[in-house]
Formats: sequence, structure tokens, C-alpha cells
Amino acid sequence: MSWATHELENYFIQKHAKTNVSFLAVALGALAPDLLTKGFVYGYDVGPFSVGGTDPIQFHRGWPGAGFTHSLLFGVVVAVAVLAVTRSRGWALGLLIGQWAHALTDINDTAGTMLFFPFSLENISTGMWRHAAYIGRYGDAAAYYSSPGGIWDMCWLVVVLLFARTTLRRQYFREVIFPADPKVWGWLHRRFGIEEAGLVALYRGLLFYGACRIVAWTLYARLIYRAPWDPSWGGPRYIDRVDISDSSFWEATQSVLLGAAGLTVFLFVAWRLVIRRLWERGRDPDTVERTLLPVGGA
Amino acid sequence: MSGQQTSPPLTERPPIATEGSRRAEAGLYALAAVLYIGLGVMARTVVLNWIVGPLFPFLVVYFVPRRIRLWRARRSSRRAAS
Repeated sequence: MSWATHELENYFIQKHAKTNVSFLAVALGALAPDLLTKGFVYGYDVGPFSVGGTDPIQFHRGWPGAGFTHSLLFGVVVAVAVLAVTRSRGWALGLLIGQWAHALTDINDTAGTMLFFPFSLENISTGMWRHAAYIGRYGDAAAYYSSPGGIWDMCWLVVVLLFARTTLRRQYFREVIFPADPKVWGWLHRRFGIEEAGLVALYRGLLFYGACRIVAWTLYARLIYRAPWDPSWGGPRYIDRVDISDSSFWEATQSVLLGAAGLTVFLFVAWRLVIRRLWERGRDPDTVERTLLPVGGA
Repeated sequence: MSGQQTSPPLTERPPIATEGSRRAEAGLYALAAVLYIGLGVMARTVVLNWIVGPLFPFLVVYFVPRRIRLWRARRSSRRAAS
């Protein structure tokens, strides 16, 4: 799995999405696949009982399991449900883009993701780093930040700072982020009296969290856990490689191609029958009464 | 936290950030980062999670300084009154 990437990529997507998407929806979509499953992946104790954690990789990425949360269709279902209920195009599109970004990013570990579920149960993986959830959260973090995964996160941080740094400016928040979600940001302002500086700090929070946890977990991996540093492709080799699929390359390719074709046909039919109508009756964010927020002290 | 009635009035003009206020803000973000990383390495489960992480800069950069400013303003107005 990717760690900080899921927080960092949101800013890049927001900058380059050539349409009016909600940043909050992109962020929520990017967190959604792990939001309800991650706790069970590592397992935890509730009094005398242990919950989850028996087969973390199968549960997280496989079927039967919660692997469907990392499929492209899951993003579509969530987005269509939100579009049907709220009629908000910005939220539907934001959730879809965020969830797809998460599912596509997670193909880089050895477990991969069932992108074309339910049309193909094959996990697609580039095998860049080893999925290490089976050794618990701390071991997973140490393994990830000792592998190409840590470099992958760092690359995303550099990409955001180089190519999407304007998204971090207060003016960008005022002109793009706030108008795309006037209800949520406006509610935070009215209900809690949070000024613009506070709202901007909340908006920048995910980038802050992503950047800081790269450093914190890397320090932990190097200084406390003392995991061997192995940035080679498919590392780190001090842990076992665990794959969900036992198919041969050709079997997997065949299954994935059929799955991709099945999903494409399904989405085309769904668009013609249902989604297009929902999209047409949907609406963009209300034209905001250009309420500029009060100056907040830094 | 104040309710709808007590929130400050909205301004019509975008705020103009001075060089000094920008530096102060950048300094607070840097302080927040150092604090968060230090606390994170020591108390990983409590600090390095999806709730505390994204809220941390809000607390350090905005909420705490604002509370301190309000407390100082109240204290000085009390002194002036007495």
C-alpha cells in the first residue's frame, strides 16, 4: 500500500483537474478505500477479543474480503450514489477521481488491486515494493520506508511542491477551494468562527500530514526499528514476498483484459441508462456570494 | 468556539498579507512540523494518524496563537479597566 501518497496526490489532482471538483471530495475519495478497512488489516484488541488481522493481505486486497474497495467500479458506485442523493457534480467527480487515484496508486505494491472487480478477480501489480501489512503497523511502516515505497512518497512530495505549489497559497484557497465547497467551509466559519487563516490551515493539513509522516516514519525505520535500507525494485527483501494471485502471467493478462472489457461495457451501458440522466439533473456548486473571509492572524 | 452570532463580520476586500505576517506564518508551520515529527516518532499510534495529523497545523498555526492573542487582549483590557 502507499502511505503518504494518498494525502499528497490530492493537491496535484486538484491543480490539474480541468473541471470544478471539490477538494474535500477528492481527499475523502482518496482515503475511502482504507477508511473502514485499515483497522481490520492490522487487527486490534477489544478487551479479550482480537479483531481482524488473520489474513491481512487477503482481507485488504482480495475477494472474498474488502479488496473491492480498491476497484474502479467501487469509485463509480460511490460517486453515482452521491450524485443521486446530493446532485452535486463537484462532489461526485471529486470522490471518483480521489478513489481512482488511490486504487491506481496501490497497484505498485506486490499485493496489487483488483481494478476490474467484479469482472476480473485478478490483482494488478507492478511489484515495486512488498506489501508488509502482515507484520503489523510498525513493521509495515518500517518496511515501506525502507523500500521504493518511501522514495515513491518523496517523489510525490517533490511533484506537489514543484508542480502544484500554487494550490497551497491562500489566494488559491480563496478563489478555487472555497467556492467549490462554499457550504462546508462556510459552515466551519459560521459555526466555529474560524477565520480564513484557520480554514487554510485545515486545507493544508493533509499535505502537512503527508510530508511530516514521511519524515517521522523514515526516522523511525532508520533509528528505532533499524530496518535494512533496500530501495531496489521489489524490496525490501528482509520480509517475505506475499502475492494474492497464483496465476501465470498469461492467465492474469487474459483475465485482466476480459475484466477491462467487461467494466468498459458495463460503464457504457450504465452511463446511457442511468448516470447520464443523473449527471444532467446534477448541478455545479452554487455561485458563491463572493464572501471573502476575514483576515485571520497567522 | 463562538457561534454564528459572535463570528467576526466578513470583509469585502481580500486581506493583504505583509512580509512579516508571512514569515510568522511560515515559522509557525515549521514549528508545527518539528513538533509533529518529534511527537510522532515518540508516540506513533497517538500522533501519526488521519485525525491528529491533518488537524495539527490548525492547532499550532491558528487555534493556539488565536487563543493566546484573545487571552492577552482580555488581560490588558482588564488591567486598563482597573
